[in-house]
Parts: sequence; C-alpha cells; structure tokens
Amino acid sequence: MADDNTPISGPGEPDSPWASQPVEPNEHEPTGLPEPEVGPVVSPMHGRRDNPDVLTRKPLALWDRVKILIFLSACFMVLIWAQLSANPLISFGEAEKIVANTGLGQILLVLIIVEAIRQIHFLLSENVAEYNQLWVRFFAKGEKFASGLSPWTRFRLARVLKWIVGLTLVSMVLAAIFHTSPILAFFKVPAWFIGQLPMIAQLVIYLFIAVAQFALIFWFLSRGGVDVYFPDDVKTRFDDVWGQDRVVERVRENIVFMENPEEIEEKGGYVPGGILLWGPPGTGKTLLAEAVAGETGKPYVFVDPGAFINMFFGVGVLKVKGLFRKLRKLSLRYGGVIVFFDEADTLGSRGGAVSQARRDALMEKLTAFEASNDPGCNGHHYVSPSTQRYLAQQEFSRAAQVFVPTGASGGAGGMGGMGTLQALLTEMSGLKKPRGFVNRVVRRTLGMRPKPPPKYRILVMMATNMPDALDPALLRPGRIDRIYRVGYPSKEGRVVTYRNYLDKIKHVVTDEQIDTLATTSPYATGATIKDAVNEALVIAIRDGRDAVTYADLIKAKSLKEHGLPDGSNYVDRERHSVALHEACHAVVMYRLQHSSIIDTATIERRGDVGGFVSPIPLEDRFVQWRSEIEVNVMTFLASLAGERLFYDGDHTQGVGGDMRSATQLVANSFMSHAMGPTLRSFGGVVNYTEGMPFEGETAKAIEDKLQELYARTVAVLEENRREVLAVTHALEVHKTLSGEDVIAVIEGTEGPTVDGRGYLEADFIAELEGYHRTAVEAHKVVHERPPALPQIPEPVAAMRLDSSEK
Amino acid sequence: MTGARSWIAGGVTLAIACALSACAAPDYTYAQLAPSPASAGNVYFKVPHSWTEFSPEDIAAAQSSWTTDSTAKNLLAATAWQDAYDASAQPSVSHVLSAQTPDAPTVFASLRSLFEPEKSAATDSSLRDMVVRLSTLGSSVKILKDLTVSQGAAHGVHVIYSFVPAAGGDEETIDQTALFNGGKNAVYLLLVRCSSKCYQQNRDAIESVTASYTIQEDQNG
Repeated sequence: MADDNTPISGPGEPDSPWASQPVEPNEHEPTGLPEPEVGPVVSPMHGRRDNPDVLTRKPLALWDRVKILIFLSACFMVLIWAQLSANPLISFGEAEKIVANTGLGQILLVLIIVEAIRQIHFLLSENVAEYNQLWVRFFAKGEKFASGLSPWTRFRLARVLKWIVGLTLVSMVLAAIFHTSPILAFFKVPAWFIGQLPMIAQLVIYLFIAVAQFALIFWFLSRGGVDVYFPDDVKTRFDDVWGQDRVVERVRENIVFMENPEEIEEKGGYVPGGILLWGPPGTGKTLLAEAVAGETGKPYVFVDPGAFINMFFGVGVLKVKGLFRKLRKLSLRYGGVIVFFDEADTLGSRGGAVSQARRDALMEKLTAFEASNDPGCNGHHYVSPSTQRYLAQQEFSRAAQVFVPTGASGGAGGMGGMGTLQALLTEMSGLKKPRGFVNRVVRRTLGMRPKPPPKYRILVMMATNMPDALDPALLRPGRIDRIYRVGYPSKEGRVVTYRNYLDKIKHVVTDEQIDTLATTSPYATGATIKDAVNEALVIAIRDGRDAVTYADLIKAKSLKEHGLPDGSNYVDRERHSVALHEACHAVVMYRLQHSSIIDTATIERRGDVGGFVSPIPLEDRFVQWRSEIEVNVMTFLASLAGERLFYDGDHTQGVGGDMRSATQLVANSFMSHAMGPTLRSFGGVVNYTEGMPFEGETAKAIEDKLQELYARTVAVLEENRREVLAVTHALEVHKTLSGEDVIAVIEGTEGPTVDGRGYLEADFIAELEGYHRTAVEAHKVVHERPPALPQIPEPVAAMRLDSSEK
Repeated sequence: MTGARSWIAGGVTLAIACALSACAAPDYTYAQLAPSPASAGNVYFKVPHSWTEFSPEDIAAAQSSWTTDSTAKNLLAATAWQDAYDASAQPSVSHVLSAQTPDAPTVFASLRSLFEPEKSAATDSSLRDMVVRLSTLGSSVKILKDLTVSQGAAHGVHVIYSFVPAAGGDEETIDQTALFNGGKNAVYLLLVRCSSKCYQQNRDAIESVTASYTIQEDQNG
C-alpha cells in the first residue's frame, strides 16, 4: 500500500537535483568549511586566508582604513575647536600648537602617527608581496607567543580594547573642554548642548524628549529574543548530530556556499538564502542549527520567535526590522551571517484554516490510545505504522464531523500577529532595495541615482514541527529556498545516541542489547532516548542499584512509550479473559508477522484501553503487500477467534475495535488496491464520512475474506494452544511483558525478566489447561469464584536463580 | 596605484604633516578671564610665549605681606582676578609687583571692584591716576600716549607714560590700559612696565600685548 501522503519530488528525493550522490571532489566543488578556529576573515592579520596563492595582503575597505584616523583626528579637532571658541585671540595655527602641547594632545598625536604608519604598512602589504611576506614571517613568530588565544578571542579582545581606548579618549577630550573629570564630562554634554541652542530649538528638543519616551519604551520592548554568537562561542559540531547524515550533508552544503559565495556567484548563481528544517519534535533540528553555529566561520544569530509575540501593536514589527538591520550590518561586516528561527511556526503562521499539520497532530493523537471508542482493547497497536496511520485517518474522518480544530475558527491568527509576519516577509525579500537616508534621499535630492545595496549574504534557517502552519509566502523560493525534513534518526544514529547517553552513567548493558534497543525504538529521537535512559536510571536507583540494566531500559522505554498504567486491577475472571485476548494477538503476531517484532504486551489498564500488544517494525517500509495486510487482519481477528476458541464459542465486547479495524483494512484493500475479487478502485470516490458502501457484491466479498482469514486464524491458534495459555499465564502474573519475554514464554527460553522454560513442562501446561477450564466454567456461573492462579513450577524458578548466579 | 589609494596616501601624509607641524610651541600665551559674578564680561590678552606666567598662588604669596597695610588689604579684597607675567631671564613675581623699575617687560592684569568713593568720582582722569598720580606729577612725567578707549560697554583710557621713580634709578615706561565696566562698579587694568630703554627694545612685543587686550562686555552692562 502506497502511503497516501507520498511526497512529490522535492529536495532529498532521488530525482531531485539535490539528491544525495557520491560527490567527487573537483575544482567546481566548494572546498569545505574553514575551521572556526581560523578566526574572522574581516581583518586578516597575516595575509590572504581566502586565497593562499596571493602573497599580498587582502585590501582593506576604505572605511576600515580611515575610521581610526578619522576618529583620532576628530578628537584632536574638537580640542582645537574648544580652544578657538574659548579665546577670540587664538588663531587656528596657534590653537593647534596649544593643543599639541597639552598631554592629551600629545597622546592623540602619537596615536595619529602610529595609526598612519600602520595604514602605510597595510598599504605596502597590499601592494608589495615581498614586504608582506616579511611581516607574515615576523608575525608567524609572534603567533607562538599568542597561541593560547584563538584568533576569534584576540579579535574580540582587540575590539573591546578599541572601544575602551575610544571611550577613554572621548571622555578625556570632553573633560578638557568642560574642565571637569572624564566621567562627569559625559553627563555635562547634554546640558551643554541644550544650553547652546536657541530657545526655539530647546523647545523642539524638549518636545523630542517627550516623544522619545515612547520611542524608548518601544525600543526597550523590541530588545531581546535575538542572540548573536561568533564561531568560537558554540562547541556543537556536525559530528554531534547523530543519525541525520543526509540532512547534515545538505545543510553543510549551504554553509559551504555561505563561506565561499564566489563559488556559485561567479557562475551566475546565488547563495541559497533560506532553509527550513521540519520534522517531529526532538529529532535534532535545534541541535543541527547549533552545529551550524559551531561549524560556520560567520556570525550566527539565534532568534527566539516567542519574543516576537506582540505585547503592544508594532513591537513585533520593530523587532523584525531591528533584527534584519542587525543582520545586514553583520553580513556586511563579516561577509555573511546565518540567522536561525527556532519554532518558526510561532512567527510564520498566519492562522486561518485547518492546516494539514494540525490534522497530522490530531491524527497522531488518534493513533495512540484515543483511537478506539470501544473499551477493552486497543486494536491499533497490533499492526504496522502505515496501517495505524490509515486507520487513524478513518478515525479522523469520523472525528472531524464533531471536532473543530482551534485554527478553523480564525481567531487571533498567527502568534506573531499584527504585522510581524508581514514585516518578516518584507524584510526577507527586501534585501535588494537601496537603503539609507543619504543614499535614497540626499543622493536623489542632488540628482544622483541611489546606489544599489551591497550583497547581503544572509542565510535564514528555520525549524518547525508544523511546516504546514507556516504561511506559504514564507516558503516561496527566494525566501526559503530549501526545505529539509529532519526525520527520526537512523538506527546507527540511535545506537550512537543510546551508547553516548549510557556512557554518561554506570550501566551493564552490552553492545548487542544496545543494538536491540535501537532496533526496537524506530521512532526514538535524541530527546526520547535521553529521557528513557534517565528514566532507567531512576528505576535502578529506586531499586537500590547504581548501575542501569537492560531490564531497566526496557521498563523505562515501555513507560515512556505507553505511559503509566492506571494501577486498577481486573477482577480475576476478567483478568484471565483479557490476558487470553492479548495472548491470542501476541501469538498470532509472533507466528505470522515477519516484518515486525513485539515490543510490549500488557493487560494493565490505561484509561479505556484494557491492554495491548504493540509491534515494532524491523525496517521502515514504504509499501505493504497483500499478504502482509492479510496477516494484519488476522492479528486483529485473533482476539475474536481466540475468545471463541477458548470460551466455547462465547466472546466479549472487547473485540469490537479489532473487528472494525479488520473490516476497514479489508474494505480498503479491496476498494483501493485491487486486493479483492474486483479490479475497480473506489479511492477518491468513497466518502468515508458517509459510511462504507457495504452492500451487495462488495459487502459479500469483504465478509468472505474476513471469514477466510478468521478460519486461518483459528487454525493458527489451535496449533498454538500451549503458547496461548503460556502467554496468558505470564500476562496474568507479570501484567506487562517485553517482546523478548513474550518470545521467551512462547519458545520456553529465558527472557530478560521472565524465565519461560517452565512453560515447556507438560505438567505445568496441564495445570494451566485445568486452570483455564475452571475459569471458563466459573465464567458460565457468574456467582462462582474463579480458581486461584497456578504458580510457575519451583524447579524452573530455582534453575533461573542458578543460572543468574553463574 | 589607483585614484582612491592616491587619495588615501595623500591623506595619511597630510595627517602626519599636520601632526608634526603642531609639535612646535605656540607663539603666545593666552590669558583669559571667564565671566563670573564679580565681572560682567570676558577679558583676553596674549603675551609672548617666552614670557613667564605666574600662578595665582605665586602672586598671592608675593602679596601676603600686603595684608598688614589696610589700603593694600582692601585692594586685595576687592580684586576678583589678577594675572602676572615677566619677560626677564630670571623671572620673579616681585619684578611685577614691586615699585622697582624692572629691566625686562612685566605684565599685570586685574579686575577689581570700585570702592564707594571711587564710584562717585569714576572719570577718565581717575583711571589715569590709578597706578601713578599723573595729575599731580606734572612735568616730571612724559605722557607718550593718551587715548580714550571703549570696548563694548566698557570705557576707559590707554595711556603710556615715562617717569623717573622718586626712589631713583632708571627711567620707567608704563603702558597702562584701564577701563570701567559698563556698570561703573569695577575696573579692568592692564599694566605693562619696563625701563624706558627696555621699553624701546621690546616695543613691538609690548604693543602686541596691549593691542590684544580685549574686553567682551555686554552693552547693557
């Protein structure tokens, strides 16, 4: 059966241009990520990191070249201006001499000369290769002394130092002007400035201050939610993302283009500007983003969209605008920037109609315990995930008639709301417009055309578990160019995850057992594995042990996957029938289903669910065969067949859910997949919500098939009568069995927690037969008390003790 | 080299040239009295940079002996600001403040409030007599220059005269600029003293000092 949600060809699909192909390195391929430790490329100290073949220094931007000189000269000029304005007798030349003879003036002059020499040095390094190489060799020696500090740390320290020196100089200049201490000088500036203005200008200033209060409030409100990281800040690497190799490879490709944009831009392309990572919660989307932050040589901006929720109208818009202003600045300064929106659906949702994601979320719920309205047995657990999904779809169709998801009412729409999303859309596609007051207004006033903006290399990454909740406008190429699904980690990834989390604690779990755990956890994520290991540790500590065992992990896994049982016990009579019901499912599943193994069998009640047997697929299959669907149907029918077989033709209401599922499966396979006597398909024609067309020929064909499978199921159970009674007994004793324990009971071997060898002893089987017979008789006479549960033979228990001691 | 680089190189060279040219000492020392409650305006003048300026503490120390004389004591109390310079190779504040004829130009500037009797007789003549009683010395004093001057609301006289001190010694020339403030309750004084011979030798420098004497006072006083 092909999945109804088969995706069309897209990123990651085999025929996609981005499909995973073995990559042969060639001259056109990006050379790979630079190590974060190489530091920023904005201000290389010792030559061309971007092209080692060029022996001269990378030319500085004009502004970088002159900014310090301008700042120092401005300080000096301010001092001269202060002299000129203080005394009308002083000429400019005299003022210059006077300032130059003050201590501060001399400091400034020395700094100006040093900076000028530095720039001449840079100029020579950019033009004369021999000169540059001389200094490269000189600085190579200096590197040894500074090897304790990474280039990024040195860069940041230098930046902080520049700010401190700059502020100190400014405060000293102000102190010289106002004849006060450098610290107080800062506070005198505003009063002095206002005092210098004419009355009308002062009024304007006071009015401005009154308005500025509101602006300030909004400014404060628009802060936060945005964190900037530089490469050394984050230690997560791509190697830390386990089991997502395919996505990692794709994301790495984007980062490589980001690091070396010329690679694609020289060929007329552009660096893909947006990536959406979507997938179930806990699959490592955020971890992947962290790894990007750790691997890239560019600044990394982490956005928490929760902070973009409007408290007041316009705050979200201001935040988005402020964010992109910062991104443009960082992009120009560092040659690129990566921005990551976690939980992007918070920001990128426009609300409105029922989205597919909401449907999926609802279906996932239905797939779990709520799917069956019939008390007694949770039928959905017996079959493969794709069948579960199909059955859940049917349930959803029914439920949708009475259930209106929240989003359908329109409501407040996207959580960002009130223009935040629109601002985001505008900013994401508005990066190519001319910007700046001088550029747009002044240049135009002077009759000049505004200069086009520089290339802002901003890589937008978003992560969500509700991709369909995102506004389609956000996902259009140009905004989000690539959409990657971060699915459940591969088995190898799960093995690594289990091993790594187990290595953090004391445990006695073998590699084989870890492999089994990984196999039986196909939908486990890094988060759930971490949680399960921790839960196992809690179980071990509760038992007074400090090392986690395999059994602890099995218990923890079951607890996490199926939840806590209610703790209420069945009456003895009902306990036996429920155990037998589940035992029939388990035995048929074990004997017939070869594409999956039993994960858990339980008769512990959880709400309306009396018990279940859950399978684990051995591999993630895409389609199912007719024979497999028949086995699925037989697994459902096992409960009815078993109850009738063992209770002299009687059976409980608890088979209702199983029968409905069996019928739906057969009907669908007949009507959609040509698995019945006819070829015609009703797929897309039948409106399930209006009921199945169970009439005439179709109804008869379905019934015939169910009868045929029922007969085959009865035969299987008759052949496995001992196994059914053994599993029934084990379930009555232990309430919950792991898949391995179920196998141990059926095969009469030693399982992780249950020793099944006793179930091969003929005397004990005869005792179980007698117990069952008495239970059936007691069932017929309601007031009669059912017999006591037989005890497993002592010798077997002793043997188990002996073997454990060995 | 591209055009931009030429500009940068030129700019850097200019910055260094400017920076180096500024290293020389200024030609003048600029004196200044900022407005205060005791004065209605600013006073500026300049003296050659080689002349030694005395700090207020030096001047106060030299005037400490005056506190025994009640007239001098009153004068000090009424003085809001004073400044002193000496062009001598061995500068001393006593060259400025003593009655002895200095061998090198000395400069004394002050601002003091007028006593009540002075206010009632605040005339140009009283300004001329402020340091030496020219009106009583008669022909023993040679008036070299006698001008009335106004700067904003301030009004007074600029007089240059020579005389032989009563105690004997070389003839002395005094370049005296004295102005009442607009309210006629304070007097600005600039006094450049020197022996007549010295005066002739340093005439340009002395004239540059007196020419720079600037009072900025609001017309409304």
